[in-house]
Amino acid sequence: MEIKIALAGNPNSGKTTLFNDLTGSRQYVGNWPGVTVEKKEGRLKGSEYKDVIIQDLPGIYSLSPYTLEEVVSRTYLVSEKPDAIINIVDGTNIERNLYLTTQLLELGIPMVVALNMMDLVRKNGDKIDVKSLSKEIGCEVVELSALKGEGCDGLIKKAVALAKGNAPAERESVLSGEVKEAVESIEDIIKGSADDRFIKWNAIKAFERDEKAVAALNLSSDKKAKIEEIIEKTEKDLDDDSESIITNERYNYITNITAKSVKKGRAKGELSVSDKIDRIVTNRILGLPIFAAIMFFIYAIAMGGWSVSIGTAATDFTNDVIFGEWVPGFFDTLLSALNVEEGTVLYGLIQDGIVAGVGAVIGFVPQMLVLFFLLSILEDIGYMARVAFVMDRIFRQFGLSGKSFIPCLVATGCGVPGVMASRTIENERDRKMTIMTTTFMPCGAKLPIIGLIAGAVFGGSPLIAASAYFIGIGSIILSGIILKKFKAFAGMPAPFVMELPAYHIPSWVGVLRATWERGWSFIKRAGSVIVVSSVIIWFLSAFGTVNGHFGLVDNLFEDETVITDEYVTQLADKMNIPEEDVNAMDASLLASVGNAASFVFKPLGFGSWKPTVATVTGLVAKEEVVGTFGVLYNYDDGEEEFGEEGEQIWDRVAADYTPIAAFSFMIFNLLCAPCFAAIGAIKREMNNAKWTWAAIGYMTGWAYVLALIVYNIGGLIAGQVSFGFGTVLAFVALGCLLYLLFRKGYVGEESSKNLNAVSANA
Amino acid sequence: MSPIIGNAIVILILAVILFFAGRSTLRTFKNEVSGKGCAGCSGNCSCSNCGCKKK
Repeated sequence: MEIKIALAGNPNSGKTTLFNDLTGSRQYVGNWPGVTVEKKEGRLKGSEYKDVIIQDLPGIYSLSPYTLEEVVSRTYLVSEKPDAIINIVDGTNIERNLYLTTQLLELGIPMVVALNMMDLVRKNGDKIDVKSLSKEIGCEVVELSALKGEGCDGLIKKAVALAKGNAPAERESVLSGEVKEAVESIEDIIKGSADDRFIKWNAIKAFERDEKAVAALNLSSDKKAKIEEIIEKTEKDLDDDSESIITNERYNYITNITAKSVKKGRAKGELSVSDKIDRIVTNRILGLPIFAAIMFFIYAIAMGGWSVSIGTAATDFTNDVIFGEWVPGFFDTLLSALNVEEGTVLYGLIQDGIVAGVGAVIGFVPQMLVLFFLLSILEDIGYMARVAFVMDRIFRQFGLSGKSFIPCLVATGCGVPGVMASRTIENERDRKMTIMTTTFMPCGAKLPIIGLIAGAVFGGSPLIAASAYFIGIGSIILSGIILKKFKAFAGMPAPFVMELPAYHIPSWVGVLRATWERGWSFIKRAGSVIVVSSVIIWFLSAFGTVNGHFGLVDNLFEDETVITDEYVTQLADKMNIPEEDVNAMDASLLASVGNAASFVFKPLGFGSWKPTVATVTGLVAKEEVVGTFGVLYNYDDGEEEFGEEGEQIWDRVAADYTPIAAFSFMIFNLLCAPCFAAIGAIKREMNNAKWTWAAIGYMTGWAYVLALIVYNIGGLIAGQVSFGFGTVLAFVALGCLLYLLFRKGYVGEESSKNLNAVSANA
Repeated sequence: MSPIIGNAIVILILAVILFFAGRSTLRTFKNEVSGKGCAGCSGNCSCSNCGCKKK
């Protein structure tokens, strides 16, 4: 017969590490029915335990009904009735973790407490008397270090024995005095309404006026009235609300037992190393400048033009040597050996299509790897958690919550998990707003766009690369301010409580693995989506109609019977370029389609067919913007041989755009509608077609307005753009933006607040 | 080697590469549009909606 053991504990207590250790690869990952909370269960490793199922419950601080995770966990424990519970307790934060323990004990299910991170407890100089703690709590306590794999065997043996024995230990009540009497009276009233095993738990929940738990008891109105009378009398006598009374009782109980069993190595009030660092890093004044400086240096090292910019050096080598000489040279030799002549369709498809397109994208892998490596270090040491805390202070000034920033941090890797991370936001309005703005952050796929513009047009300036990151953050803040003034999003920001893990030396294996995983997924996409897209782009740019003749545009342009002066004039007019700049590609299918749509981008400074096509292909995958440029700018007019120096593409890109137009192009592509993958994630999370289109429309509109303002007003100031209709439009747009930012907006009713504040002893 | 055979070999190799790349692209596209996109992750995350995740 199957045995079910539930794994419960606070977030960051080591549950996942223990779960992975106990079950290995024999896991199933899904969703709890009806909710978006992840469900993980697995079979215990070892042939003697093949009937033992471990159910990993979501990390929770209590069994209250306030969050989805808490409701999911307690519903499972009460309705599924597992045979035993393993309660993981973080030994370095024992008082806070024991709060959940006191509630789990009330369920009457056999339980063993796994005291985790004992290696850190000893390192901190703290001492925990496990036997004393076990006696005080009334259940087995086992020392554990899940990360090091110490104590797991003993824990499992105890848990399985408990599950088979099915006899919870006799435990002292957490409550005392009048509260204890009140709860016992409630137990008498509700007897028979629920499983006897959970009577104590149900009575406490009824005392706390837990609506979900009381509803499940199906009590008569008589019984409810009697219970309410008991609660009101106790509240009056103790001068506090029922929930706070129970919370205080629990913490008093915890304080008593930890006084007997726990000896801290540090004096009360003494700061740990993490605390000392946090005093500077999360400082009210220094926090944001420190964050800005760190991100600037990271982008400078990954994508700048300094001597320490190892990312750029590696990318230059990849572009100039590997994909500039070696790869084209190799294919040239191979194709020659197979008698595939230069100038034929097949040769062009391979060299000018696939090699150029894929090479342009793969060339940025070194920069991405360096950037991801540095970001992974920041995540692993625990700094990124502090960033959310620092941003919360700023966000809150504008009616936003730092909780909305966490999906944005995730989105710096990829927008898809970033959008999905918005599930942690309980407030529906804030959640929608977060989904709409998360992809403003430059993800991994957008890095090649930043690298191309910063490298080709701005000489590798780290300012341009770092500015992309802060333009993303700025867009999120400004969008948040604007959207919050609309009825659909108005309201107080959600409270933000977050655990700051202690700083620790990064796990180099973990950092390298995270870096490799992100880089490898990028390379895999290059091998699939980019290859196919490059072939399609090459085909559409190599074939077209020249003066009524359809075929390879290169060959048609060399035929003097086809290409006439009249036709060249016509084409130059159509493309709005000087006659001497007309080349074969301007007559291609792609050029015709791109040109028809390019008028949309004229006010933004890049209203020609190449950037138009590149922007559209960015919907497939953002890195395809660079892939498209790789194919389109690979074309040479016969003056220089392609392959000698890869930076010819960059030089050609730089020649086509003024700095302000290039910056405008970068801004538009960074902020506009994300790739199809992210749109799919938005569609799923919004679960509503109207909101999905609203999100896409908002992002594209925002990108357009910002690029319009930057190009026209920024260009006017820099002397690169003359005053014209575009400038007038830009000023109007700026005026509208300022109005939306500073107007009063919708003011809703104040939401009722449940003021239950409890301070726990450290 | 005659040009015809050489071209045929190259076309065959290209066809195979494009077939697998195209199939992978269509699958990814189908997953992404239905919201199960795993673009940007290698499939080793614990995300339950990852289209790459195998039971």
